[in-house]
Amino acid sequence: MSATFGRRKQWLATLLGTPTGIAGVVLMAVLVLLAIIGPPIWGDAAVKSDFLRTLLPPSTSHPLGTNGSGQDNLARVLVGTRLSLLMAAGSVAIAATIGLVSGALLVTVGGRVQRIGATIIDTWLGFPSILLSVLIIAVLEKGRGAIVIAIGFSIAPFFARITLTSAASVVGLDYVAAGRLLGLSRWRIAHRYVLGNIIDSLVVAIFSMFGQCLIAISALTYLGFGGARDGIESWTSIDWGSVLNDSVRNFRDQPASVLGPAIAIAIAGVAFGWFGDALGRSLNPRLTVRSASGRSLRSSRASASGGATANASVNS
Amino acid sequence: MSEWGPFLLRRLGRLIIVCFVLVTLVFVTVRLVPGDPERNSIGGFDGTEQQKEEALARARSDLHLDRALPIQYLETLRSAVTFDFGTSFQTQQPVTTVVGERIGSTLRLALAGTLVIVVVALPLGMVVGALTNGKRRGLDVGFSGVSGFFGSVPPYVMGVILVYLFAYTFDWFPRTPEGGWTDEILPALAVGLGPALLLARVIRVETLNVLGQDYMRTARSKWLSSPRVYLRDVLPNVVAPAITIGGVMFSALIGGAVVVESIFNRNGLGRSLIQAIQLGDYPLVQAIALILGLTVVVVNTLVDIALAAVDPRSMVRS
Repeated sequence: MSATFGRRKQWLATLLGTPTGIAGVVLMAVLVLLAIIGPPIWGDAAVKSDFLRTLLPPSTSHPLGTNGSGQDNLARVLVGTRLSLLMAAGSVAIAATIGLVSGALLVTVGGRVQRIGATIIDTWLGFPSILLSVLIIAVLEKGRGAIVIAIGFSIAPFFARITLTSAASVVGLDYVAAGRLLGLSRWRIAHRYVLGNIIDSLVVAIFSMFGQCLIAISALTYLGFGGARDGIESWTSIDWGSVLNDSVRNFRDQPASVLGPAIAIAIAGVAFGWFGDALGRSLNPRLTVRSASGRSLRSSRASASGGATANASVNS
Repeated sequence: MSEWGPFLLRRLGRLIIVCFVLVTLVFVTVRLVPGDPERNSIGGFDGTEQQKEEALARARSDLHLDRALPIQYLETLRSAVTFDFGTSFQTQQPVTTVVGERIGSTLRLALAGTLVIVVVALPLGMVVGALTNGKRRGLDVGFSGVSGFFGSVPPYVMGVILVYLFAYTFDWFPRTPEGGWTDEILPALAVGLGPALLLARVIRVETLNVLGQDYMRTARSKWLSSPRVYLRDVLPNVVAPAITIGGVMFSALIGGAVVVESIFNRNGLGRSLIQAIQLGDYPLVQAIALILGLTVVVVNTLVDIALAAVDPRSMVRS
């Protein structure tokens, strides 16, 4: 009992052991809290139009001013947290499922198929995901659902690559060989021995990619792929990308309003990345040692390309 | 040396296959779009019924929709090779003309962004590496925090913040494109700064690695001057990781350009692609998606080859 407690304490200490780890945990907690309490508290202020008070500069009652419909910009950013986080969660779930299943299938089948699959995954990874996502959205028709699916699909190879890489590092180990000698099926080995060992990397990747997905999704809603605004607006259609779109259009008249969505997107992207890194260090201390030696260029390329493509995509 | 032949063949083979996949992807996309592509293409066409029929017929022939499916595919392949995609419905000009007008802006952005990456990352990474070689713990922590933060800010957010700061708060740069070289600076910083800081981190680690090697001790003990040591011994060693990351960043740059161009109101390929998709201008969508996609794929291949030239071990790994 006390041993478990001690381990948990140590785990927490590693998680909070670095400045970025603390910042990541705190910022993430704030974002999740905002997503929960944001819409009930500021929902009305975010959608209430007042055509006598359009494009007001920042003031005490409207810290970031108002938009072209006289809605409070800060309230819109706060309320937008929920939809932004939900959409990112949706696309990460899609990406992780596709990536894990396809990666696991490739490992299970092995041999030539696995090599071809790995080549496909690497090519897919090197391709700017925004290019792929806008093509997918063109097919699915504009809308938030299409954006979530498109980003999920473009980020999926990242998870497939992680599954392949970490599985490959486990497959060569003695106990997997022992399992094979015992006559266990490939599927059972993949499921029992391999999955258990790569789950750490997957959890870390899920958090790191969460921020990237959020950035990519905001880029697409910024570009206007979220669908047209209908007559009566409710807070359920506000996300950071659409708020940014609004602010950039009014850049000349009310420049300060761009700060809200821009900073929200930047902070969310960074916070989830930091949290993912800290989680990685606490789940698997060996990870830090290995990366500190700066040896494994190949693996750093894989992770960099995942991040960069997501970035790009969006970013693009 | 004998590995080069098979290696180049493998890479070339992969490049050709990927190009086919790209063309197929674009082909399938246009055919899967809901509704009639040719009707989407002409959009809200105003004119007489006969003019409309003519426009529809031309759209069908430009998109090769008037043939049997296998022929359509071959025609699309031919379009991709000859780069003849018919007429853009948005501008009523040949797609080649539209692309020709707008590719310059995207190229300038990509080049200027690359310049920012190289000019910032190499010196910064090497200097910080040399300064933090077993000392100045504070600088080490500060650098990794700051570079980590700004490295994760996406180009389009960076762009918005740069415009807010340097075009509105301080009136240093034009708020809308004016046609001069000053137009290029903020967009280049927006796409280049984040990747530059991330690359600087990698270069710092590589610099530390090199500084820890025995031959560096030898060089120092021979009283070779520091700048010379850095240029002659450190620089060649950071080239391989710089090329690797550079390739990844180039693809990020192209993706970044798509959104950054619309932040800065630049008339480039990325913004045109977004507009073309939103307006259903499929001839233009096909052309731009192929150009951007092919550029990325070709650059990735060149990166692999350059990497093999710098570090022959990477040939075996692939």
